[in-house]
Amino acid sequence: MNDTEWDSWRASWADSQGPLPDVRTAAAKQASRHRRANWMLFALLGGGALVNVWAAAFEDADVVVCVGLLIWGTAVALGVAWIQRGIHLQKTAGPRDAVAFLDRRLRVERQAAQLFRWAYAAGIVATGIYLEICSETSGR
Amino acid sequence: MGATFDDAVREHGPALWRVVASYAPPGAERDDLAQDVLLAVWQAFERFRGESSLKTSLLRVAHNRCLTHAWKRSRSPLPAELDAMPDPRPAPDEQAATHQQRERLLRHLRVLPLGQRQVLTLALEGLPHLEIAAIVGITVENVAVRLGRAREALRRSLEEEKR
Repeated sequence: MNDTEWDSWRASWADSQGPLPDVRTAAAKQASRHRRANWMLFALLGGGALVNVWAAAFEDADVVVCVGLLIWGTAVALGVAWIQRGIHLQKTAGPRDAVAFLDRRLRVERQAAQLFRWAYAAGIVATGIYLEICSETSGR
Repeated sequence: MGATFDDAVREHGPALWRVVASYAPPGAERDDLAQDVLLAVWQAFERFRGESSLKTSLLRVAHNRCLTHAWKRSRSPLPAELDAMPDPRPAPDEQAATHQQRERLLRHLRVLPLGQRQVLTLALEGLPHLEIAAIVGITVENVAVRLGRAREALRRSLEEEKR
């Protein structure tokens, strides 16, 4: 091995470079997505609640169904808010905070998925029971 | 510490990429490892107290993360044909030859034993033996011995390919 060979390796090595991901922007993007998803969810639940109240008050809608949907929406909203306690979304300025936030977000999403699964299941069972009661009552 | 994370990546990003490239072949594995390393560097950046040069600190973090990657990979190795696959991303024509030469060097570096690879990549980065010893956690004499063996092994590997 001679110095010329070493120098040529070093020159080749020093020339090597490639793209590196922008982790800071990625973390900021995730935090912003999380914020948007939260706004969307609570806007949908709020909108649904308003429609329910309006339908029960001014339209010929089944009050029990409207109240049931309101309770369901409130339960989901409270559940999501409870799951997200302590997530400290505002603390993403430092890298460790940002990475910890991403970990917490992942955990929150897993728990929220479980909440939605059980809330939907409960909603379907409740609707089934209610429809059964309605059909029995109308059959008499 | 005056430098920000962005400044550090701008200045030492190429060195970090080279460390990553000496552990992972082109493609998704390299991209994933680059992301891991950058994340580790970002996390470690706050703890940097200027006890050694910024470049040395960043390279230490990058090497440690790459060693973890190499250890994990040794437990669940990718199929050999995947490792040998060329980077699907096209290189510009005028840079293709240089690009091939660099990838050739990196490919031969990746087959060196971890201890030799670590020392050789840091030496190629221009770090003095004392700093290499601090990063790798061995004595300066050991650095010299490993570096000598690594250079010889790399030369032999490159020559064998030529034949």
